[in-house]
Amino acid sequence: MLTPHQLAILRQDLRTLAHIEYEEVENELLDHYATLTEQKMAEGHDFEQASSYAWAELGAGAGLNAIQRDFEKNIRKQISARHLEILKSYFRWPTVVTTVLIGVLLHYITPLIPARFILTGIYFTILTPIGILYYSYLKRRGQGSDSRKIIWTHLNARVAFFVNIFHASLSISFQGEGAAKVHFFQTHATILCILECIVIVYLFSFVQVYNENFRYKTA
Amino acid sequence: MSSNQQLLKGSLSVIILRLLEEQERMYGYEITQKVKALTAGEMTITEGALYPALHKLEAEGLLTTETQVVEGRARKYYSLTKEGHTEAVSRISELGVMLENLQRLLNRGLDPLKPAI
Repeated sequence: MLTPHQLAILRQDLRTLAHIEYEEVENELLDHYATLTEQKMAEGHDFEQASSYAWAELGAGAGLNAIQRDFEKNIRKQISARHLEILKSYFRWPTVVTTVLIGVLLHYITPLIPARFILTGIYFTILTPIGILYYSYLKRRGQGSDSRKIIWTHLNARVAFFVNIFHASLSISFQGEGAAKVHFFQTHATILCILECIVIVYLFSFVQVYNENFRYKTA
Repeated sequence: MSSNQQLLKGSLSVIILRLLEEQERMYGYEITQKVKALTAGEMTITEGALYPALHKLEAEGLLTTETQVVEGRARKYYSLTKEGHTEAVSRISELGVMLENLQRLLNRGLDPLKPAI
């Protein structure tokens, strides 16, 4: 049986030489590495030699890191598949019809609502799902599940892209006068409203994906 | 990679399912040793092939895991889920049929005049 100090040395090898950063992968590989080292020690080698032989047998740093890359790839694949599934479940006909109806309704009532109210409403509804997503992240940050780290990176990249596009569309301004300006504003608000419904649904799908548990969780 | 290793890689998931059918739960190192022992050292599973295969089977919902602290370190045990049991039977049978057909083809290849059974 290895001492805690010897186990710490092996763990350090995994972290520094194989760059293993996920706890779940690290624990599994450490057990394998330690068992192999113990077996070599039982054959008469000292700890230094035994761990060197075990390290080589495990495929050294590159071989072990490939296992971690596979772990990451597998989780990303699951996240994408699940995200697509969630999105498909949202974009069914009731959602699409409701979105179009809200868009049409907004088209008619836009001239009656002060512009700042519309903009405030748009920002509020866009920022709410982002806020919920960020809150979920902060709440679960301490739990340190490896799959959540990967999910967060995956979602972060996508949400930033989507929000940037949305923000760019908000910044469009029209320099015309009179009826043309009203018409532009009416059309712009309608399109934004439809886009916003899509964005909200999309962002809520992120919240749902983030809160789901993927495999490889320590049982 | 030797031809033995190539064949082994192709049927690794079936081997894992088969071993877990016999033994309720196993950990990574134990699986490698069991394969080595059963084939008298003729076949060995590398860790680089074993863990991705285990992770894939787990992601497919065929395996479930539990972690237990053994000798000061966390040990992850794999076992078959209900779906895994069903899938094991089906995959083992598929591989068996394939091996049977392969054998027929190979045996026929030794004697060109002999018709396939």
